[in-house]
Amino acid sequence: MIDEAFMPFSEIIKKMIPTETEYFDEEAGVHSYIYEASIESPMELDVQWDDNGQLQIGSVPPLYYVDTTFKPSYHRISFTAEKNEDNAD
Amino acid sequence: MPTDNKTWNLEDFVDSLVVELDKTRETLAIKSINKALSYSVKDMTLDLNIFPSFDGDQVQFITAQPGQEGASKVTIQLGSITDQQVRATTKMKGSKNDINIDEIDIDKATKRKLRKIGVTSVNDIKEIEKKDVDLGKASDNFIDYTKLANQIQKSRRNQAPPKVHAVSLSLDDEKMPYILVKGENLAVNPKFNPVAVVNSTLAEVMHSSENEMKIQINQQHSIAKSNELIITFDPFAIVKMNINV
Repeated sequence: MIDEAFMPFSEIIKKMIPTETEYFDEEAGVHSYIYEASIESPMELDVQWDDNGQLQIGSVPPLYYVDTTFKPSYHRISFTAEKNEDNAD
Repeated sequence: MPTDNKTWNLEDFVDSLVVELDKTRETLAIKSINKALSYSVKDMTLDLNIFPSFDGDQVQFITAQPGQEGASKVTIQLGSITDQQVRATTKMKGSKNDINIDEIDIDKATKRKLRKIGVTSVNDIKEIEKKDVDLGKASDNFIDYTKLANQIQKSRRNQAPPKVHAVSLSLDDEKMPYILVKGENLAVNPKFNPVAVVNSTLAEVMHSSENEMKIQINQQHSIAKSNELIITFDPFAIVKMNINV
């Protein structure tokens, strides 16, 4: 099983997608929203086989923010979160 | 720190990645019901630090871990693809009468060799036959086609095994006794004449079809209270029954 410090890959993606994406200024009568966000981040991976023979991809953003003597191996993920077509404009 | 990473091949990794992305998509779809603004994940790229290895047959990867240097970089790009493109580039899998090569009882080396030449199912083999390609030559004489064809027949038979619903004793027009066997998928191979053995003595099969079989018996078969009947419908379907009279 994947290490408990790591989470399934789908969780990481969900957590990276911005949640507060609409901005209002009632006085100025302005309404803005994010229609596209490009996200790029280093991350650590823990790749393990589970009991059912399925490959599990565990992932986590960098755990250390300072230089250490024991450098983690940083893989890199990048993706674009795009506003769905059927959203209200 | 995670436990030691395990080796994987690209196919398994991408499969797992796609499953994870599907999960993300499903969650986002649910979220969009309540939230006016929802997002889809597009054009994902993963740069992986990995160590490849080749065992003479397959390339495997192991993800680099903290403290490990000199890893190679593999970039996986998952672009968006339309339904139309998927239809144009994907073989239709899981058709009703098709059999995946994983379901055939053949050795791993032959399976790998078949995959290498793009064969993943029995329908693929049929397509190759239609184009008059010699499977033996295509695999550098590695694949024994006769053996493979037998294994395919065996797998097919396993999918539609013989089922006996009823066995009865009767008399024919000449007042000769016979055993009547009724069921499904009985004698399905027209190239093979079924063989019946009653109480360890060969018996004549008078008639055989998919749903019925008539076996002539006589005094040599020593019919008693309890009798043993063995029928070989074809090389891959042998049935043994005890008949109580």
